[in-house]
Amino acid sequence: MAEIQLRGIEKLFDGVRVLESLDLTVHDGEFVVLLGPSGCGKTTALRIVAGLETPTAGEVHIGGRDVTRLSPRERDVAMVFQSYALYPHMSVADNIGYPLRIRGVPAPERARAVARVAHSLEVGHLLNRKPRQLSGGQRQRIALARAIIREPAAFLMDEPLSNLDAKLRVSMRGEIRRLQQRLDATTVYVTHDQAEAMTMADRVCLISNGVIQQFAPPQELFDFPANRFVAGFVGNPPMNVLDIRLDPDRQAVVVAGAAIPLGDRYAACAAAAVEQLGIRARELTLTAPDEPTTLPGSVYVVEPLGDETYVEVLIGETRVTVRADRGWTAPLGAPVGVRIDPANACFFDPSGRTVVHRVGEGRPPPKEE
Amino acid sequence: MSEDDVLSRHFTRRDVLRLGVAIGGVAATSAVLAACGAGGSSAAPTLGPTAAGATAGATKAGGKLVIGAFEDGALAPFKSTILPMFQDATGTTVEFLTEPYDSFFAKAFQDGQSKAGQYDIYIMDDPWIPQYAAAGILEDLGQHGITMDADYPGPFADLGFWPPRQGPRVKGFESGDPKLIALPTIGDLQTLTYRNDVFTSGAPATWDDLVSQGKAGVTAGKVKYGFVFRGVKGNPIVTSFYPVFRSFGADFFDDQWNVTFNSDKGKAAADFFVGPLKAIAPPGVAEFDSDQEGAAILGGDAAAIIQYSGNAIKSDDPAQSKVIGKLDFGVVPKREAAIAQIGIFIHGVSASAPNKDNAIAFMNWFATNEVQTALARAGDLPVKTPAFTDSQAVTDHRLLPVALAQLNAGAQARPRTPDWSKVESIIGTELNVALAAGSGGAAAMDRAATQVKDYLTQQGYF
Amino acid sequence: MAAATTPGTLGRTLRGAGLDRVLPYLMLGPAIFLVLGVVVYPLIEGLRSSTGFFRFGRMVRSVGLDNYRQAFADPAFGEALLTTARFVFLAVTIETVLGLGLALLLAREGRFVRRIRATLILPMIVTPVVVGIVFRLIYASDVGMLASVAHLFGLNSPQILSNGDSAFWGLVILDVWEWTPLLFLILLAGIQSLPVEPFEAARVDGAGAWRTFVDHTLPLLRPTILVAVTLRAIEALTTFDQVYVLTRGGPGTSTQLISIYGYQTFFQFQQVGYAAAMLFIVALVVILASGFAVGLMRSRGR
Repeated sequence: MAEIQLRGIEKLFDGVRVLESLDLTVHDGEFVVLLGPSGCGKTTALRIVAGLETPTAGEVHIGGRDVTRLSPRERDVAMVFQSYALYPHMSVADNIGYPLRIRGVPAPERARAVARVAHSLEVGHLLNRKPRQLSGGQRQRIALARAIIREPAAFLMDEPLSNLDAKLRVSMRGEIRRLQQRLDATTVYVTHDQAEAMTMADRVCLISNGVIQQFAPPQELFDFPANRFVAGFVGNPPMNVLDIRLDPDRQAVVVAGAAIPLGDRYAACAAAAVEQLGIRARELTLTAPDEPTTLPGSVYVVEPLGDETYVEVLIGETRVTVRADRGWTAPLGAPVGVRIDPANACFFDPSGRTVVHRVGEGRPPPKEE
Repeated sequence: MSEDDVLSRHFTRRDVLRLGVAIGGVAATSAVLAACGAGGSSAAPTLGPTAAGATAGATKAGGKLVIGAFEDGALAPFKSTILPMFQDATGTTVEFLTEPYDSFFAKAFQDGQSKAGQYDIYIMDDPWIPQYAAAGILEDLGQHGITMDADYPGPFADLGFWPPRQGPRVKGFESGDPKLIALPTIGDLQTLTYRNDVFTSGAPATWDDLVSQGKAGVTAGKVKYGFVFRGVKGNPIVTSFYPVFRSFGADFFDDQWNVTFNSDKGKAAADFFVGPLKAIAPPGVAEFDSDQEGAAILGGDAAAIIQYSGNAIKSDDPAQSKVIGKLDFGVVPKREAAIAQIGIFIHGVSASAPNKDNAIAFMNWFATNEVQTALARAGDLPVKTPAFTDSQAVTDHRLLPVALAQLNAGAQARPRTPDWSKVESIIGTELNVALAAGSGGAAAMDRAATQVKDYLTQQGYF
Repeated sequence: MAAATTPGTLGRTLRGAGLDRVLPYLMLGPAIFLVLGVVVYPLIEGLRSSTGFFRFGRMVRSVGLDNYRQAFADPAFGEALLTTARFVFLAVTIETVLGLGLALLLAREGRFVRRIRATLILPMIVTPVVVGIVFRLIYASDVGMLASVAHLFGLNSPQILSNGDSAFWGLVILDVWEWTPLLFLILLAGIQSLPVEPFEAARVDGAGAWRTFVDHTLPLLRPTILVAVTLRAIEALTTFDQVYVLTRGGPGTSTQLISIYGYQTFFQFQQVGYAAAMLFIVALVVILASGFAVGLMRSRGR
């Protein structure tokens, strides 16, 4: 296994910039998820690592070796494709054993390896079938088996679960994660599903418009989003964002007419001229209307999820999502108050960057500018 | 099996159609069909009725007359000059329908077999006569008082009779009086076309003269080749070989269809053909057909060629010839004789002709010297001797007297059997191999003789 | 609506007349009639002709299987069959290899490539007779293009059409020129419809260009190749116009394909029965051969 480094990777397709100066290091044995909306460039980045695309500028290093100009076969990486990309004319056994065949492994040894890998992925009984006789989940496992059989320097996975149904997807997440940890395999995994990223990754690299927004462990992305985009993309429901006004007299921010004192964090906010605050649904509390220091709102919609209830509240013209206890209910339009604990809020400057984070453990060290 | 049984089995038009489609059903034959259907059919427009009050001589029958023919440039003067003359003379409306060669051969035969009455007169190529006459689809002209008079040159006249007046007869027709079933329409035969700057004392009299003077012409740089001919297998090479072969005194068959073309004379002719003659011809002559042969003489490369009159008349066409004034015509060279091949247009009346009286009237009218002279003046070779010497025609068409001289010197039609094209194919294939090799003419004749003998045996000749 | 009511009404009417049982057959009638008329009847008539002896354009008598016996005893027929087989095998093989090579080269998109592709198709749309004439003009030893080129270098003009072997190869080259585009087009369509991912997977798995071609391109393309080869081979069997114009089957019999021999036997020699028998034998060979090809397609396709 090996470390993967992208240095200043840039990619243009017909003059359109898809990736912009991408720097990324995936440590040996680490599981990194490239997350982002479709078209953000994450798949292109993965294909550049694989060698299926050549970067317009920049370098790719795998295991300390500059592989930028090398063909895929010289990079020693294995890839799992969204469509599985099994060889339709070959049996399952031949599919799994193909990378070994290419490397000239003798047939008996190859057969043993195929059997071992197939057994570990519970597809031993499928070896004589052709890919078209398999279900989606089975094909996925064959693709994984083909990737792991040759113990490559790294695994590259391009949305491998997106063609599966929701239930299977959830169970495969766990399996892939277990497999990766068992093999201690350096893995780059591309997905647009933030839940996948959160559950599987050691670190998540969130990309938008070809630029890395934040590269950090999932919890840090969740708690300390680097900017408004990260806040809105990660977590379900996404972070609420509210427009605010600074009130120097009371050292507070004013939200929908209600002043919320910030105490010692005010200075930092004022220095950056923050315009918005972000806060997660579970950090908001529903109160009776007209309670002091609460935001006045009205119930927009109530979404009971069984275990808990999410209530969308209209504050001014902004909708915020508030987590309530199970069984909470109110007629639509009913007036409610929303209490904010400012310690759990973060603040965005006019460009959307997070300038003041929430108070709490696990906060990242201030970035060197 | 007697010939009566043969004739009782009518091979009808429907049979032919059925067979055609049947063969089409066989997967591998589409090419054959494409080949026969390629030309499509075409019909000349009806010549409009002309002013009444025609001239004397012919009966004023009125009505109409349908003449069918295969497509050929030599028929152009016939169509544009002779047919309107007939309309003017008789008031008969003439429809002139043409088809490509192979297509008309089959179509006219079907018409006769099925008694469809599509045509009154068929204009045929002379080798068609055996099959058409044997099938009984041609009217016996003798019954209508038509005779072959003495003005027809003998070789032309023979072709109008079935069974043949002389030479071998095919099985089933060994006995029986020759009947007149067709009259010659337009004459055609081979003559020599030569360069008068190479053969300065006129046409070479003998084949040896041709070779020696031709060689001298090449040496003098006047021409590239002493002689050019058609060497492609099948009909082309046999047509070119024919005047050499016959002039050497050889013949193809005796009176009982015994093969004689591998006689000493025949072999000598073949060896001369693939040896000395090829030596003064282009090295690739084995692949030459009439287009290359014609290009060689008109382009100034060849000292001499032997060709049919339809091509010979191009010698005086400035648009086609680069050597205007340098080309003259002559009788083919001699060894024992100087014999050229004839191949004429010949017309007969369909036994199922709907306008039989008009057809007979046309036959009589066409045989008059007046019409023959008009034909000669219009540029076709006539079929009666007096027309060959018409002074105006001779002035306009200098080939005429040469053609007549050739007729007098010796001109022979091909053997009169429907199997000639198979025989020609066999001889033409073997001779072509020897020609390409430049040797082995005699052996080629022997090989061909064996095959022809086997074939004729199989066809029940002996 | 009419559509809703009519069937029921019609159905009752038909049942009343007893037509409802006959109707399906009545409706099949035209199709059956067509098949009988266009395929079965002519085949039977053809078979009947193939057992006949023809003279003066008429079937004189039935000779049973004599025509078939004659075919097997006729060296010219055997030779024509062999020549045809050799021609078809060589031409189609070369065309397939060239067509596949070109298709692989030109499968990617691009303006330049598009233009090359358009040019490559040209030979196919030229009438076969014209192709024959063009190649005669190329090969002709007097005024031919090759002769001119040879003269340019001070060489003697090549005698391509007067030598058996070179004439045969000249014909093969003509066919390759004319029909490689067809193979190219079919194979190009096949290549372009191949899925992309297995090839990317193969690259990542470490397969080089040659391995990818052998392990993936060829197997995935096999059905397309078989269809193309079978089509072309059946068509090559019927090659006629080009040969007739180029060599008439000569020199000697070196380019005498079965189509030429059959044509001559039928039209020129008027041996209708024998020609029919020969062509039935050829048809049988073709049917067996294409059946074999179809079988191959099925077995490998699984």
